[in-house]
Amino acid sequence: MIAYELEYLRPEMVEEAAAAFVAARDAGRNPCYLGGGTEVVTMARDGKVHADTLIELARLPDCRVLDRHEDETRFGAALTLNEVIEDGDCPLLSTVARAVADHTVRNSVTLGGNILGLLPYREAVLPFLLFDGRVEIAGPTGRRWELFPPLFDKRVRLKDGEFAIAFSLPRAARNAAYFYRRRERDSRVDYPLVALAMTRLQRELRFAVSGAFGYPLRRPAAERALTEFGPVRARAGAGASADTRYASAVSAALEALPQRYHADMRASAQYRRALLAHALEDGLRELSGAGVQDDA
Amino acid sequence: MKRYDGLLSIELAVNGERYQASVTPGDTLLHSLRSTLGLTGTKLGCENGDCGACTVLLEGKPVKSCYTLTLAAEGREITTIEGLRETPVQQAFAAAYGFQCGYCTPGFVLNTHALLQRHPKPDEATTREWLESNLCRCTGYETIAEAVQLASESEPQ
Amino acid sequence: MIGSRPHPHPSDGAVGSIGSSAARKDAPDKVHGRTRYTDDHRLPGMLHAVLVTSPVAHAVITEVRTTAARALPGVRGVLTGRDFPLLVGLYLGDKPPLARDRVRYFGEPVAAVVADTERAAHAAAARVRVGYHEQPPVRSPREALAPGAPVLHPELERYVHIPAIMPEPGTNIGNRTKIRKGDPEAVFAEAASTEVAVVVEGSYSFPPADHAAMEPRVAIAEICADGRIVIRSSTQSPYGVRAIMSRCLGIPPGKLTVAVAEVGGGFGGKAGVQLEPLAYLLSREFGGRPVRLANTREHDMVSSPGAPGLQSRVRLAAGRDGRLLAADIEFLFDSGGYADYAVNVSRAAAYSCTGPYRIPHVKADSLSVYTNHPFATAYRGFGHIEMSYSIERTMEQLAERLELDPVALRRLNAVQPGDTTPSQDELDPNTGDLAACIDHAAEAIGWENGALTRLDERTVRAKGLSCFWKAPAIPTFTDAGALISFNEDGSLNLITGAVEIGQGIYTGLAQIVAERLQISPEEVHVVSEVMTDRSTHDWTTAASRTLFMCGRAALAAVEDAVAQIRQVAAAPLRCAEEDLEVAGARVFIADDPRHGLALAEVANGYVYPDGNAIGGPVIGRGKYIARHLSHLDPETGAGRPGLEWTLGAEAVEVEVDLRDGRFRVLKAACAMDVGKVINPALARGQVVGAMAMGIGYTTREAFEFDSRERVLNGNLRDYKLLRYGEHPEYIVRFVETPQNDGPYGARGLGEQGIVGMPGALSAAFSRAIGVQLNELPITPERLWLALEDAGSPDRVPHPEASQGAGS
Repeated sequence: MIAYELEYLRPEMVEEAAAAFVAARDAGRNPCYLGGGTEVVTMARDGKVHADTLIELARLPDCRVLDRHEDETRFGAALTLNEVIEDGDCPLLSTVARAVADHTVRNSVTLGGNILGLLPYREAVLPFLLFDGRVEIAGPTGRRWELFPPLFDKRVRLKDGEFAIAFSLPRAARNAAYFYRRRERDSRVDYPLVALAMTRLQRELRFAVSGAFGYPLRRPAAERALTEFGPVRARAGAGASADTRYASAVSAALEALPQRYHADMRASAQYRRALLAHALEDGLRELSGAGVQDDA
Repeated sequence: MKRYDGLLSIELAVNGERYQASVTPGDTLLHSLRSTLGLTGTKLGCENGDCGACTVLLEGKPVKSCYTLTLAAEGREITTIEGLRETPVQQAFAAAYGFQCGYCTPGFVLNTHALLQRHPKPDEATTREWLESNLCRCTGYETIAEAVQLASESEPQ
Repeated sequence: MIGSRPHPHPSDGAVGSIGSSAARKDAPDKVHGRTRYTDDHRLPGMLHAVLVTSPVAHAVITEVRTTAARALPGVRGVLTGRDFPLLVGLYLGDKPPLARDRVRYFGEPVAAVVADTERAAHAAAARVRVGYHEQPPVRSPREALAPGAPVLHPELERYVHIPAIMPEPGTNIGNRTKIRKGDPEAVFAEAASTEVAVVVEGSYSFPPADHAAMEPRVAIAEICADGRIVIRSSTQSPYGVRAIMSRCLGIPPGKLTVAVAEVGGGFGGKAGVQLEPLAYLLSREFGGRPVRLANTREHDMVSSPGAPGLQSRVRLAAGRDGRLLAADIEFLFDSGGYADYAVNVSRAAAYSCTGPYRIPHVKADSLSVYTNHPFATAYRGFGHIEMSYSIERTMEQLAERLELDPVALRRLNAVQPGDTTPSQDELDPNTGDLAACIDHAAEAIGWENGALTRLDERTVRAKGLSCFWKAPAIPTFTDAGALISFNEDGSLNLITGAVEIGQGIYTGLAQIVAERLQISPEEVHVVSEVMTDRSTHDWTTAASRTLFMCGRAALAAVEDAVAQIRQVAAAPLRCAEEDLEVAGARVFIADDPRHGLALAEVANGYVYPDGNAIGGPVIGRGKYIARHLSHLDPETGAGRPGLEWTLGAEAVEVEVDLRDGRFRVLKAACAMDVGKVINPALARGQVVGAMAMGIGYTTREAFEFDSRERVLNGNLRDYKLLRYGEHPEYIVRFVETPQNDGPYGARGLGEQGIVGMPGALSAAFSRAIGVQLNELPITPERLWLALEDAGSPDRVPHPEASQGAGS
């Protein structure tokens, strides 16, 4: 229960929602968009959030789309994670979403809520970072589509009053080889210490990480290091042994990543770093062979 | 656009019946069910979405009513433990000793009920995926697993 | 021995129900959500109270500002420590209902807001402003005992306490229990100077933890116009609440009724006195209106008491053959800011301090120590879990030192009847068969097939075994009562003071009564609510003694009823009373069962054909009180503290990934001598549930503190309990050496399954990584760190055991 006074708004259209936000702001209120409530409601109970105008997004038709087009798939921001998972259009997105919270909670957590919410993990963003996904943003000035990588710096850089209507993944996300590794302190139902999503597009390795640094991140330089030094580019039988190449690729990639790992009561920085190194190595091994004939 | 403020009267569809309920926008479904409608079978465990004692079904899907605002459930079919009567799942939990103190049991029963509606013969991984949403402090889960097995073997509803 | 998996038969209401898994009486209500727990009661005019708690661990309260809170609509008042200048405590009256002048732990209640609605109370609680002048916190028992440590209870000398505990004013010691048996110093001195004996020593520790019962604590108090006080509470101890409130608040006990329906899990955390005194005091402030004081989960975990932390040290001397010679033990229990049950937990650890091993010479000091942690109360295992962990860790090191098989070492030293306990009490012929339990546990886990198996270069499987014992830490006069009355159909009603906390007590008691009367348990209606003014006196539903004692009382009540039935029936049946037998809902002539009457015709009076009546309602009265218990001698600990010892052994198998320390608990086995299994499914449920709790306790459950001793994980998001699918395969075996003074030979079994788990799991994990792990919780990261410290994972000793499944 949220103990303090608040108002609840149920807009019927995206533009109405955005306008309601501005109006509330202008009236000196502290508005907040509401998805499934898993964060906002619990944090408001706990005093961590003081939003006094909640704007419901869950019923907006534009936020509920699930459209598969020739060259992209669009996921409404108000789809629940389970709806996204069951759709299965992007296997990596399904896999990543499936590890968030627990099954019951995933009937409430929305895709938009996970990516744009208050918690720092935002794992569902990882496929969008990897495959250069896009996001459709609504705000006081109208709608627009933006490409994820430039817009995303630790979190989606939205302006005040903006929210996501839908997300889009390009066709490549449908059948690209991928690797996903998520490690928790102990219980599977927990925040990730490390979540690593990796994919391979032709001979290029890409990866994005959550948990390890306290914010999701994709670093092209680290990807290049992994690709350059890894067995993906290595001719079979040439040069150093595969094991050595894996190890040097992982070290090179780690060097290109931030050196400041997140530390909290769940794990130390050095444990997170070790888990990330293991994950990178395992992902590299798995994707070095997967689906690409000339490396097999 | 609908605007809700202060004390409101809204209609809720619970267990196939229509209820007129007084709510405020900050009320959770958990609170409305228990305190306003007197449906106390839904239990408060953590109010944080962690324990699953407050699980109800919304349009047949399990959700945790502690983080679900009542207004968000307006116009949707809500099923609480009071809406299930001698279902195979309930019979199985009773027969297999799938409970001890019983406090988590409504949540487990509802979640299992939804699971078996969706997957009548769930494999172990699917059962785990669904039931790891609920905490039980008493049983160590052994008899709950047996209850799920027993229920999945009974006649389809 | 009963080793097979019990299959409950819900429709099995056959006579002779002992040993069968009769349908649980509480099943229909529980699976339909119809069970009424305390917070499911909504009373007319009920006010709602919400606590304001301390955000710091140790501070002087400089001010409490309540104006803004009081100004909110619907708020009836805000009460603070100043409003209630009194102290409450279970054994030691050290705790104000709301903190007065200083706070001693993070989460301590400082104020209570009372309002018309829960919502208003929460909103107002957020507006109470409290000023704190922080003090350096006392972070552990050792720190608390160090010279110059802040004395957290300077008034300790003035606190009222029971004679069995011995606080040491001017220090942070809430209780010290001494065990002095034989001459351990001489043995250690000799061991140091000869080759004949070895000495091993270890230090162990873990932080405080929480019970995390699914039902948060709640109390609803009201005061009637005639002064009667009625408190509904989620308590394991309705009579304890009455007695303590009477003592600490000066309430005549006859004016106070404590009512408890069913409780959503206790595990010790709802024993003693909890929210009840404050709920009553708040009701008194508002004209006796019902006041509901309900914990949030966060308050339940941190503001209400949890499990104590521990720092311990154990030194063992043993012959080269492994025979234990002497023990020197120190247990420092972290009781947190207040004493509560911890002062008796430490006492229990003292009288059980050696574990179930024959050790002729023992010195032990067990202390309950104040710190600035959340305070501690009873927790399943009650001192024995901490004791067992410390002893079993040391036994593993002894086995390693002597290069002896750890199982053989335990078997060699296993206690038997005739041995004496640390309190110099001789184990009587009712003592269970520990050696048989060890054999069963070892066999169940496949000890013979190797304790360490390497699956591949990264993965090992390891086993660990431990022994446990437990005797209830109860007052010498612990009692139980029972009343039986009859219905028109001859079925009967059983009233006791036992609280259903999930253990299935109604079902177990019904089976005991049904067995004696050769009727179906269905015919025994157990009154499913305890009210202290109309139920029978019962110490507390705790200490795994309820089936034992209430079972004994119920059997006595049956005998009493049977005698009355015979007396009434003798006249119409025209025979001597002693010729009559009562069974199968009839009273009949024993040697000629054709002559008899249905109980329905006799139990509420017999009516002759001409209308004359005799008899009247039969009321069976039964009682029990503990036998031969005595206080511990303050200097030596000599005495008889425990009614009965439940013995057993536990074994586990774990699989560890040596690269990152991730693990799974694959199997957990428990073999326990329970005397007699009354209901196999209930018994197994208790043991399995306790093992699961033990896995959590050992591997993940512990409060995390920041540098100012604030709890970081006081919620179920961050404090991780075992979830579905994380549980191992459970193997449970019962050995049945009768407890001849127990009902049908049964002894306590509710807590014991947790006691050996930290020892068994620590042994297995230590074996897996080749490093002795002496702290809890054992998390993957802790394993990884230990492996890193020990060098590369490749340096882990390879087992001689064959490759393969490891079992």
